[in-house]
Order: sequence, then C-alpha cells, then structure tokens
Amino acid sequence: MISFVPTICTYCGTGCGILLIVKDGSVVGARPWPEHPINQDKLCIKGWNVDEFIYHEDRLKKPLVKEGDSFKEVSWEEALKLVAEKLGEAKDKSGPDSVAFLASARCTNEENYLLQKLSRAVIGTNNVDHCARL
Amino acid sequence: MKNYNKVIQDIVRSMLEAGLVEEVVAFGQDPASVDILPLFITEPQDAEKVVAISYYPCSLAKLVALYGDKDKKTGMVLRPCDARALVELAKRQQVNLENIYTVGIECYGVVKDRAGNNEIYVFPGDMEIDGESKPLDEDMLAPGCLRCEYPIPTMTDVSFRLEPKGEVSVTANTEKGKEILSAAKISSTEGSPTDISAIKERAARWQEQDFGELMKMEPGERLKYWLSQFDKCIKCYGCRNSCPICYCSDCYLEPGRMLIEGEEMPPEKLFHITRLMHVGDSCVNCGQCEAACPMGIPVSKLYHMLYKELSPLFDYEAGFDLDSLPPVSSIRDEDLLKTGVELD
Amino acid sequence: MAVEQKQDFEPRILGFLCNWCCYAGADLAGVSRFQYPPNMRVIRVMCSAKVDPTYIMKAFLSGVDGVFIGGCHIGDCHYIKGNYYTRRRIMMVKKVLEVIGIEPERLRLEWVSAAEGAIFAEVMKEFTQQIKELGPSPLRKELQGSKVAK
Repeated sequence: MISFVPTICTYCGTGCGILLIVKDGSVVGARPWPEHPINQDKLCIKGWNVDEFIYHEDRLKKPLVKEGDSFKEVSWEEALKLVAEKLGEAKDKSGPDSVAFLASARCTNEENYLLQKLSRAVIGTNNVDHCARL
Repeated sequence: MKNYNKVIQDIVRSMLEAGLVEEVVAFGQDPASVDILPLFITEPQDAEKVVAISYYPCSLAKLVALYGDKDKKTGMVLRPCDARALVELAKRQQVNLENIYTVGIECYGVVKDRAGNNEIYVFPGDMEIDGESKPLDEDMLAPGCLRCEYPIPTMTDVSFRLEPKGEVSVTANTEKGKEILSAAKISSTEGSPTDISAIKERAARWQEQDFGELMKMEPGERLKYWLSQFDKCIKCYGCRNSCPICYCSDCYLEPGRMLIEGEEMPPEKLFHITRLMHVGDSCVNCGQCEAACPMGIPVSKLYHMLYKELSPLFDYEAGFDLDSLPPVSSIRDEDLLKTGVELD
Repeated sequence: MAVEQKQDFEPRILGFLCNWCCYAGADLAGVSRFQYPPNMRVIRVMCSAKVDPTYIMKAFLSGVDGVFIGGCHIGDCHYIKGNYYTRRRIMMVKKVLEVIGIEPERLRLEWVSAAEGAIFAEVMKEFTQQIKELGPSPLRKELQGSKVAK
C-alpha cells in the first residue's frame, strides 16, 4: 500500500509543500508537492531528505535523566514531575527570563507551536528559539 | 460539463475488477481537493479519481522503479516520455515489464502549471481550459514538450487518444493491450492515427531554436554560457532525484564517492557534467529535471542536446526497443570489425 | 600577433597510458632515444577502459590544455574487451566537450602497441603541436587560484 501524504516541511520558515511517500505504514521518501504555491514542485536539499530523521537511530525513545556523567532511564511520570519542579523553581527564584526553550526542526510544526505556547503562556518568557536559526 | 476522463477511469476500474492488476499507478484528482497527485490505486472505486488532464508533475516510471514491487502486477497510465523512461528502466533491470500493463495517453504537451484553472487539455492545434476552447499558447507548455517529437505512445500496451469535445479513441498495441480492452469491454477504434506532422514541425522548429542557437555560438562563448548557468546551482539534487534514468542506489554524486572530498560542498560544474556523461546517452526529454530546478538552469536543454548528438553517432533511440542496450555501456557485434578509434 | 603568443605557450598535457601496450610503447620510445616534446605528464592505468570520463573532465577543470588516452589496438586488449568500451566512451566524452564548449580536439584517443615506440613519439609531436595551435585551455581563467575549478 503506497500513498502520498501532503504535508509542510519542518525545517525553515519558507514552509515548502512536501509529499511524504508512505509504504506499508512507514515513510520511505519525500517528493515536492507539485501544486503547492510556495515551492511549485521544487525543493532544497533539506526538503528532499526531510524523511531522514524520522526513524534515525539517534532519536530518544525513552525519557532519560542525567545522573553525574551518565543518563538514567526513568518513567514518564518521574521525568515530567522533575521537569515541572525544576522549571517552577527557576521561574520563582530567578524570574521567567532565566529559562530558555530550544525547539527543533525535527519536530512537527504543531509540536513547536506547543513548545512556544508553554514558554510564553505558562512560564512567561520570550526566550524561545529554533535550531534552524543557528 | 462532459466528463472527459470517463473512459480512462473505466479502463482503470476494469483492470482492477478483472484482476488483471493489483494496483494502478496514475495521476489523480481527489474530487474534494483540487490538487493533482500521483496515486497508487488498489480499490476499483478509487478509479474515479484518475484524470487525463495535461499536467504531469513527476515521473511515474521512477516511482514504480523506486517503491513498486517487481512481483506485483501493476497497471500504469503514462504519457509517451514516461513510457520511454519505463522502457529505459527495464533495460537497466529496475522494473519488470512483464508484470506491468501500460496505458499510454497521446500527448501534445503538458502545461508548466495549471495557474488556478482546473481542467486543461492540450490538443495539436488548440487547448481547452475549463471547457472553453482557446488557441494553443506555447508559453504555457513545459519547455521539453515543445521539442518533443514522439506524441504517440507506440511502446505501451494501449494507446488512448482524447479529442476535443471529449471524444475518445483507444487502440491495443499488444496482447496485454487486448486483455485490457476486453476487460473494459471497449473495442479498439479503427481509424487513421492522428496527423502528427504539425507536432513534428513544431519539434523541429523548437529544436533548431534551442539547440541551433547554442551550437552557433563560438566554443568559448558557449562554455561561458554553461559555466555561468552551472554557477547558479544550489546542489539541491532535485534534477538527479526527478530524473527517471538516474537509478543508481549508490550514486556517484553522493559524498563518499570520488566527486565530493570529505565534507565539502558538491562542485557545481563537475556535478552537472558528470551527470550529463552518465545519463546523456539515454535522455528521454521528459523535462522533469528542469521542472525540479529551483534556480531555473536549462538542464533539460543540455541533456536533450547531447542525446540528439549521440543518437545518430551510436545509432540508438532511447525508450523504444527493449533489446537495444544503452550505447556507452554496451558493445555491439559490429564493433569487433572496426579497428579505428571511431566507430565509422 | 595572437598566433605568436599562442606558439610561445607550453601546453600542459595529461596522458592516461594503458600499462600493457601504450606505456610499454612509450618506454620503448624512451629507450630507443626517439625525441618528442616533454609536455605530457603520464598516469599509468592498467587498461584504457579504467579511465572514468570524470577523470578527463576533472583534468580539464584543473586547467590542463589537452588529455591523451593511449590503449591497446582493437582485438589486442589485455583484458579482452576493455578498449571497445574505451572507444565508445571517448566518442561520448568528445561530444560532451563539444556541447559544453571545449574544443573536442583537446581530447585524443590513440591505439599504440608495445612495439610502436616511433609511432608514439610521432603522435606526441603531432598532438603537442595541435594543442599549441589551439592555445591555452579556456578553463584556465575559471581556476581563480584554486587547484580545480569547482
């Protein structure tokens, strides 16, 4: 079963249209979305390889907490509790601008939206940036 | 408005219902959205999405070679350039033509983009845009199409011709074609083939204009022109990714092969000249490379020009005869009798 | 005036000589003291079919004025079929050079056997003179300080 799923590239701010080629439930390639007004059937090299990071072996699969020099695997509840605690602590002790959030071009656009909402509405800081800007 | 696509949809539906093929690869338009996208259809009811609109944004032969299953019986609805590309891929063992049932659409050119219109059909002398007949606007057509001299898909199993006002003419070219037509309960139309002299004349005129203009330049001037074109390249690899003849899974132009040293950028000039030398003897002038180039480099013109120079030299036509192998990588028996440094 | 200038320049020619026939032929020319111009730098390859068209293009993009490929005579290739492929390949590369805008006469293919020392020297004299007349490679200006025009 092969299907072509139209979506938007996650990398830079141009927002080119991509067709993800999905074969038997996994993404095997990317092509330009022919009639998307922004890119008109053309892509840059990052767009042509936007499917490369989806199944990359370097991706985290479980929450990890740093202990000394190494990382320990923990449960989601423990990890989220730790994060909420530490973020609240930093916000109370040194103010909201002492915290910065770094989003990622390898998350979906929707996940990046949620992160900046967390940063601006929950913590109250504008210190949010994205790896495509570096 | 009359459904111009009814017959082709019937053919696709019956190929699936009769079990001739397990899936059909064609360009389709979801009735809800406006976009034309490639589709791999497995359900007969989805056949109503297939269209024969004169817009062809990517090479279906390449998609089948990369993602298709060689053991699966597959149907394809193609234009002649893509059908020739399919034959070239078969010569390189990338597709199994025995398992592929092809329906070729007779083509007089496709548009670069639909510019907001929905149904555009290009005919030899005129165009029909959303039901309205207009004189043929050569500016709207893709540049490769203007130089194309093969409007009739003789190398497919079925040839399908759409005429103005939605009339249709269907011919079976092979035994598999007859199977397709009998499954669809359509009889082969007897009648004279299209008069393509106007198309051939247009092709000769545009080839003379595109190639003649370049060959008339002094070598130094031509070199300067091409080097300045190559300098625009942003190395997106779009031309290589879209070209149906480019099939190597271990491509020479990737890092780790000789062309790119270490972590450097690919070299603009050598990238294009190398690809030209690898692909040029079999270019089918599908124009997908030029359509994919974000910088507007006339890639298709260069490759087609080299192919037209090499074709008489090696007596080779790309995309017709499965037994005639690519000229630069195969030897013929006559070679053994010639002792010089040239093949004459 | 322009012709004199062209005659003054010393061409830089790169030669790919096949180990079994042409390289031995060049060796024989040397041993027999046949004089020929010293403008060619030789790279020994095991068969003329080893020469990738990209090597030839990289040579031109490095600013060499001429490329010479020497192989065994037809029917005498040490690896049986190599020189048939070389012949087809060089015909293709010559057309590529013509289409890109470099004079195809800057690329030369010759069959020279191991016994043909005199012929090798003659071919070298002829080719060097031909390159002298063609002048420096138009790609020399593209180098702009780097070793290979990118």
